Amino acid sequence: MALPATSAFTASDGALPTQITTFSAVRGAMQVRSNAAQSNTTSDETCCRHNADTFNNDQYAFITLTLLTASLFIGPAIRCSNTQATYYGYYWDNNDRYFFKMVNGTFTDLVTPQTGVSNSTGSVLRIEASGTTITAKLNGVQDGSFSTTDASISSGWGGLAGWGQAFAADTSGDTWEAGNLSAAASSYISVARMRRFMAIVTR
Amino acid sequence: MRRLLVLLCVLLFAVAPVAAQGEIVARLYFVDIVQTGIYRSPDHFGGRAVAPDTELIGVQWALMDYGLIPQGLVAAEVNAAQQTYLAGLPDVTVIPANLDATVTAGNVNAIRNALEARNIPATWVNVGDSYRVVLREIAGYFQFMQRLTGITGLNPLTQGITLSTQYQNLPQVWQDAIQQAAIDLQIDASGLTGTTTIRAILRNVASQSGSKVYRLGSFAL
Repeated sequence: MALPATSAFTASDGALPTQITTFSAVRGAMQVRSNAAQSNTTSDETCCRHNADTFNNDQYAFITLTLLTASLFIGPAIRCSNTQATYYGYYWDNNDRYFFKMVNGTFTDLVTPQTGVSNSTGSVLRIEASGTTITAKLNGVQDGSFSTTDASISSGWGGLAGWGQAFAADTSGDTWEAGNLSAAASSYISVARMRRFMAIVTR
Repeated sequence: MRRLLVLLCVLLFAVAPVAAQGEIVARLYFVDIVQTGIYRSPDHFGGRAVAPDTELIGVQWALMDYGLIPQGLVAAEVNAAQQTYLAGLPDVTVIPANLDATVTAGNVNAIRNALEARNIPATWVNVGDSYRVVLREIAGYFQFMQRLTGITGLNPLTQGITLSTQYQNLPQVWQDAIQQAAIDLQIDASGLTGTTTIRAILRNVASQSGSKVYRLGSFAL
């Protein structure tokens, strides 16, 4: 397969790596439910990574949030390891946002968690790494102060991160993509441009 | 008219201290990293699993940690009351607001001791060094230690390794990790010998940072 890797999670309900074999578990369990991705481990961090390509070190991943509920999180992850529970992540529930690193199973906040904020479905969460600059973006723009210099993780695969065990009507993500930053900055730009175009023509 | 002017002056003096107290400024602090279960965050500032101290609720911060060594440099947006609170905490080291100010004969030893107590090499800090220079060097240590512990997944201090440990006495996995971290961060490790200490490795790494800019919150070091 060629990058960027994409998934609309079109598969039967079940464990993500089982239903879509281009994903591997990094930590905990994630699942496909109603053609969307969810975290599926009780009260713990979860991550799955793409496994079918080799990523450059400068890479991105994004996912569109289709459902948001309290205390169940999902978002994109980058530089996911194939040997440790190691990755950079950016995830939301319905009113909290976290930008963090997971190094060998230890979670560290990179900036102030944003809690009690109004999160909405349809948002595109993106995280990218360029050298040691790690940035989280919301709908194409840096999300507040969510950018930092960090050298903990230098390489890996694009993926998705989450927290908690979701049920049918819980936090879900869809339209996932991951790729190399140098590759025309991803089709996300095309999606964003298309949305702007559609907004204009439907006025 | 005169009464009106007097009233205006009274109001201005009454409001001015409140405005100063509420003014938000960016400051830097060295803090301990605390861990609850798998979750690490800068002490007092809160995080994923820990609430901030009451005095620091709402403070926006960014963390550059010392890898898995539980120390960190925090850039925080604080008001005067929050700065006073942080300055009063015995486990917080406050960096002067003016990073271009220099270390003086009166505080050089205190600075060295505060940093060494956090296992940050600092005996090299001298009178006349600007705080910006000191922080850039330390940011270089932190970045290298992030990469090193990102590879090993371990805090070296819990593995019997200290700043004085020589390269030749490190377990093979740590020697390999140092070499790999140097490659990953494009650092020339050719000068490394068996007797090179961790302290010397960190100093050497920082000296090779060149024009690299370390971004932390609103700071660019």
